[in-house]
Amino acid sequence: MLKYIVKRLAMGVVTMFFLITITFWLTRLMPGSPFATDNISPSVLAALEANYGLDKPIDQQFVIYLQSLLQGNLGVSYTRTGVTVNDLIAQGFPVTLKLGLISFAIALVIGTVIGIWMSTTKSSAVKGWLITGSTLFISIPGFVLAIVLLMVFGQGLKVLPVLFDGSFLSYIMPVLALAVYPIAQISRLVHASYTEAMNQDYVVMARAKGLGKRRIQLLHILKNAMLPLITVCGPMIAFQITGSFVVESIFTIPGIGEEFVNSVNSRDYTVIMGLTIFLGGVIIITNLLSDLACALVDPRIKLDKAS
Amino acid sequence: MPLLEIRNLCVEFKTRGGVVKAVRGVSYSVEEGELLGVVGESGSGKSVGMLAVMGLLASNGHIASGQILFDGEDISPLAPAFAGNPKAYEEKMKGIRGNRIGMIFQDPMTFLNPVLRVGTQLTEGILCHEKCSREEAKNRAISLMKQVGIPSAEERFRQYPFEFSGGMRQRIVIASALACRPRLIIADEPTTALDVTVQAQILELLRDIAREQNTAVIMITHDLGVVAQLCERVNIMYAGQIVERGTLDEIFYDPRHPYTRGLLRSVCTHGEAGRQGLSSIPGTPPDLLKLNTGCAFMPRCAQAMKICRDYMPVPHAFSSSHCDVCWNDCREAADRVTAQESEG
Repeated sequence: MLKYIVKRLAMGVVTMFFLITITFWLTRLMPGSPFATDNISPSVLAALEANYGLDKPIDQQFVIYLQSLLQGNLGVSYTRTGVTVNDLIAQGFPVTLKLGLISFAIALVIGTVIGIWMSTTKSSAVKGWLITGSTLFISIPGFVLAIVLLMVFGQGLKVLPVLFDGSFLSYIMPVLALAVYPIAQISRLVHASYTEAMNQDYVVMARAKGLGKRRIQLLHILKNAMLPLITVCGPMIAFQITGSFVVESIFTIPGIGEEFVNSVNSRDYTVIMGLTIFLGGVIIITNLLSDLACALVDPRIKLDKAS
Repeated sequence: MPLLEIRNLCVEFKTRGGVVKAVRGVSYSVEEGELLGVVGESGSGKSVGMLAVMGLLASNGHIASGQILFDGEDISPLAPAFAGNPKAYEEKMKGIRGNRIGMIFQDPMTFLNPVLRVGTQLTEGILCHEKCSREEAKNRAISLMKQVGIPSAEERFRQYPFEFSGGMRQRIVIASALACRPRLIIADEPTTALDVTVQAQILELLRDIAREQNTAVIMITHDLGVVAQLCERVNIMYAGQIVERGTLDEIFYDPRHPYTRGLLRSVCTHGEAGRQGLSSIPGTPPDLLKLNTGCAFMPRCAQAMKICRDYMPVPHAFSSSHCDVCWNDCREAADRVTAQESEG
């Protein structure tokens, strides 16, 4: 197990190197400069760029960047003087992480319950409505839902705060906007795998032993049905954390999603790089965690032998 | 009083093509400690009948009519005691399944839950039927594993099904069926998925257990060799009906029904008899959606008469234990029916 984790982390480092290289060159390929504005003289621009080392050849810049990265230094923001990228992440990430994890946890519980309900209900009307609902919500983008929620609960009924201030009430709408898509996705996934597991032979045997319905459903069937879900949980958590950009800016939540969008607009190279590297790391780690969880649930998966 | 008595059981499945009558009026009984074989081809209704007894039919199947008397008590969902109350039936069956009737399944690869430890799967049955601690259940499970011949049971208790070989898994399935010392074991082709040497071991194990604990066994199989090794009485089934029943000797040495004879001729033997070559029954089992009104075996039968097509044959007894259902064995009745028909 430990050997496997070390191996995966080593592979992660290689992945990160490619990510860094590609992002670095891509940001430099973007037209414009972080300091370019309409009324800046070429000499001032050149002086500013020289100040930040942007006058050096690009390959040299890349080596310098890698050196400072190895020391854990993601550099300073070009557009906001005196602010380091490390600070930006340290401030914004806890908010983004909290939002992402809360919405994912809610989606996991509700999605699983709805999925089981879809599989076990005897009423074809209920099943039809649940499937229609999940298809509908899987196709509504989070930002559309966020705006609708804002209009109804923030503007119309005035029961929830429009601006995010960190209070419990102000979490409700963003969490809801972020959770609806994964709820629909998880419920469809659980529905499919649960229905499959329900019709397996071991369920007949469990019934033949005289076990109660609850034990069969929650242990025998669900444990098998969760396997496909756990596999996709890693990428889904990563998506929940990284995919909240738009929702964050709609609700003016001071997370890293908003920083990301701003940094691309202002060509703030170091911030783009820093956030890309950071989120790449998050994705690599959540993927590893979900694979480990899979092995924990399914004894047949032998991590050391695989890959 | 027989341990299990089935009276005129009919089981139907609703399918897209129409209603399939998988079991059509089957009656038989099993005595305490008796070893009964139920033989038939795939689709003859032998397994479905047993699943109906256990109340484990797939959701599109149901018992259309008949009684299932276990220990003198009707445990069919149609019994007056459960009339219109499926919950009461389910409650009743929960107390019987795994407790008083144990079931052994065909394929130990798919009938054990792949993600649960073998120990968990053995103890859960004990814990749900008997008031005992986890520790006691564990000790019981380990001694069961030893009883069915699993070496180093304490270690194996903590393992998962995929760590067992096919024969060992089938032993686990048997141990699970034995867990609460049931009075009846229904074994649904328990040796089909195993290789021949393991088959013999499993059959021996079943016979020893049945003798030791005076447990009745219903062995469902299509393998006459299995029946010859294990059973005392045999029912031959075809297209959802019992076509012949008798003791082992009566069926093997004095088969009467053309289908039974065909089955026996298609068994591979060595020595003098084997040199005559292997014969098979021509044709295929009937489509249960399109049965004629007469004998279901008629289209494949070498001795079929005109009457067989339109009229269901009546049972004919050769001894107190041996009877079959064929017009050839009750010619008088056949003549009467033919005479009546020509008059009318």
